[in-house]
Amino acid sequence: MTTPAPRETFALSVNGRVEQTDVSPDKPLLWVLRDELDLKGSKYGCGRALCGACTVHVDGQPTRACVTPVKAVAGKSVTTIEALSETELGARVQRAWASLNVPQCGYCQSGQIMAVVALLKAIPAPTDQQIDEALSGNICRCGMYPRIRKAVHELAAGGFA
Amino acid sequence: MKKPLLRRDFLRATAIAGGGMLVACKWDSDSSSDTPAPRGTAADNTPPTADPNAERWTPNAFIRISADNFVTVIVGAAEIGQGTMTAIPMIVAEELDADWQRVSWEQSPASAITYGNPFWQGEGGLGDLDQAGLQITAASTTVRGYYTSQRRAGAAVRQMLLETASDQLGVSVDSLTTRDSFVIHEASGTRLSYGSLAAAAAEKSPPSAPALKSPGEFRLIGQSKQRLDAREKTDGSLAYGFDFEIPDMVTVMVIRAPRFGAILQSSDDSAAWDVEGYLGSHRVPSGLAVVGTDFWSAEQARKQIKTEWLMGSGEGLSTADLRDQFDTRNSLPGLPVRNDGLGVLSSLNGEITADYHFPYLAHAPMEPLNVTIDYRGSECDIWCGSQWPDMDALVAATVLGLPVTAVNFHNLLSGGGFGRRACLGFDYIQEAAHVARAVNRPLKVVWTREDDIRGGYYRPYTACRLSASLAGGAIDSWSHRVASQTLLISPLVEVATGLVTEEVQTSQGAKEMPYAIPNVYVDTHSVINGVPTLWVRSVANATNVYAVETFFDHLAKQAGQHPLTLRRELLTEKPRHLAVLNAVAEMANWTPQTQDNLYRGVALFASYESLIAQLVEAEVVEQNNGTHKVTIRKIYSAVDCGTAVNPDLVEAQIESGIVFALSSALFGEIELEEGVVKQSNFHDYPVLRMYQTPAIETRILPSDHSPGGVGELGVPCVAPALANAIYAATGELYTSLPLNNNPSLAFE
Repeated sequence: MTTPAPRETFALSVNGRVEQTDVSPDKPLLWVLRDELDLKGSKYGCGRALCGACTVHVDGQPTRACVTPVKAVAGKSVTTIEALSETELGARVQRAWASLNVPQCGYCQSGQIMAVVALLKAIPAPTDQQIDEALSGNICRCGMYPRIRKAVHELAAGGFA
Repeated sequence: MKKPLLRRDFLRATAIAGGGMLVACKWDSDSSSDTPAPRGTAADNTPPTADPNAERWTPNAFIRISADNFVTVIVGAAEIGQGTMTAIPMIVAEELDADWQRVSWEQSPASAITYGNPFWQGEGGLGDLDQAGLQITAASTTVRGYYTSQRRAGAAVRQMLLETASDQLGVSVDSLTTRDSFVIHEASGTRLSYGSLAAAAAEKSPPSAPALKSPGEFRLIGQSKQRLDAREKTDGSLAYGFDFEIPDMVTVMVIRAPRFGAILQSSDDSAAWDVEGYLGSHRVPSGLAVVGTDFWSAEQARKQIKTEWLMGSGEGLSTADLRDQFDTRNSLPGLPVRNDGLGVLSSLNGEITADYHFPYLAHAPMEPLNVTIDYRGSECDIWCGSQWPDMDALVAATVLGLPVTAVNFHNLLSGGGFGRRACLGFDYIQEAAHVARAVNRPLKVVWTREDDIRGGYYRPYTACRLSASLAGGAIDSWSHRVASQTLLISPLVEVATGLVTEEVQTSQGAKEMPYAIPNVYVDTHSVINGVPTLWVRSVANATNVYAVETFFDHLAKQAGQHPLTLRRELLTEKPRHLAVLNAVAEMANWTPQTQDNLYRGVALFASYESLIAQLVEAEVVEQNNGTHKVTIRKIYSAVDCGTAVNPDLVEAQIESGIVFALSSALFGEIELEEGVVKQSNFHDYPVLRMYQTPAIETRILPSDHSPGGVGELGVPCVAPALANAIYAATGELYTSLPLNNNPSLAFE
């Protein structure tokens, strides 16, 4: 088992700001966000891209930060849950979540919401099958999938504006 | 029997700086004027004994009213997702007539004496702890345990505010009303905010028996309010334990025994020093504590360390061998827990018998375990999401050699619990305290998902032997024998919970078999082996109710009866059971005459002072190779939980229970091979995902009963209802979970 590569300086664009970080290029984006940039909204759940709790957007694409080495996002634009309410869609999704009592423990919801925003940007009115395909990578151990599905449909219909 | 209503010092109020008031209350759930003691267990049969401490004042509910007219309810129960931080404030705000838009929650400190759940009063044999109840969030007790005390606290404070306004306005209390955190004098149009009255109200003598609203007067209870913790759970701002930081904190991962009970013999960390941020390692009772500057450095360093172990109690155990071992136990008589009619005589000699087997299960909450601890020699602060903060604090104090008063336990909202954060073995808190002693600086012990899945404290492996006889087309005798690993793994548990003889954690769900059968016998075996076990959401109900409800359908078929009809016949004396059964059948439009291409199975269950019937609708299609493809179309639930404080959150709990139960029904299984846990993460310990989740419809039946618990209610019936639907198609009795292990079934 090899040890991580030595530190390098990276300029990261996170939530519209350029951040200079001095970390190993192998360090996963999740731990750079959480431990270097103090953005703790993206969660650790599995460390192996199995649960989606760490989902962020890289150039708009939903990405599992726990398995993405920081070197892979150099020069790209990273968006995390912390910046989401600044966008109209993000704020609508958050309103939908509150209104429909979607969160229970809430730990997976940063990842769920990032996945939903990416879905609705790509497909404004997704079918159930498209919802399954886009969101089945995100585990909710509290089992709020029916509410997430309902929220996505209501958002697609223009709700929570 | 009710205790005296008048308590001398049931409530104390103090003015707080800047105006406002802080109210501390002590209510005994047994002294309620309108509601009997919320107990639905065997304790019902025990007459209350004289309580020598009845007049001692120990507060257990706190309300803060600020000068700017905000009400904060300080909540003793833990929020693990179930909605505590919304339901408890609703109960207080109802009687207080508080403006719901200006009500917020705060997590209480850890103290059973101050914040314990009245449900557990008298459970512990621990003096003051007994008076207060345990501060444990478990057994679906939060709303039903705190309901009366919180209502009475709200009502008493409202009365004090009314009296203060009466003084200030020079009018009678009768001429005043309250609404939305104001006292209103209709005649003059005067409105005084609670905040403006609070400081003076703190000087009032609290009323000894404040009037409570009748259900018809409720404005909040019964309303589907939004969760009060939704914002911080949707914008990333809520700091769970995993996110919590203290200055100069280091991160610790522990290399734990590869087999349960093994002892660390030696370690070699020479390669770990090549990892930047590695700070060294320390031997602790559970293994080797690896210290790093942060999660990633600790994780990378841990991978470089070699360890050697002396094998322990879990050595060599393979789950494949347990089936025969447990069946052997079940061929011998156990501890009798129920004997109706000639049950003991007819036990296990029935003409129809089935052996059931249930695997170990891991809780797998989304937020893995973690403890942040700042140990400073003579005192200690701990931040942790816990379902049992008072005991966790006590255990940490014991390990650290401190009085419990020197341990400040800060309970945080948890990213799921399902029982894992109320650990009878106190494994993670003990370990963190040992690590703190060894490392001697502020630190956080973090568990990876692999640590979580392999860390033990599983739902115990369980086998059930059911046996029955039919006479004249009716079920004449029924016996149910359970062999399960005992949960009594710590002497602390016996002290804290008084469980010494009958282990309720093994018999529940079997003992309460609801059907009117003349001869019934239930007995249990407690098996001990080296695998640490723990309660998981709905505990033994999940396994015992599976056995009861699937065996019932099997008997109905042998008796030539429709499962719905036979249930109705055998529940005529139980109107609440019958009501949920009939409601769920109506929701699914299912009658004994239904003929279509769907298969249906039903199961029902009562506990936590609530009742539920669940019905699974499935397509079951035989394939060319003789196997069956199963597609679950919809799951219906009819719930009688007494008063539903927040119906939408009740529904959310049922939905959550269904998804949790489907995970274990379909594929939940922890296996050991020669003592080593085979599963490690969500790829080999799968849990239900979006595409596997069927449509769900839940109906809450109207009721004026006091609230029952719902956090676990939705779990036990799902698997048997599903198995019964498949049974209706195939005629096969499925006696092992997970169902996916059955080679003749394929789930869509």
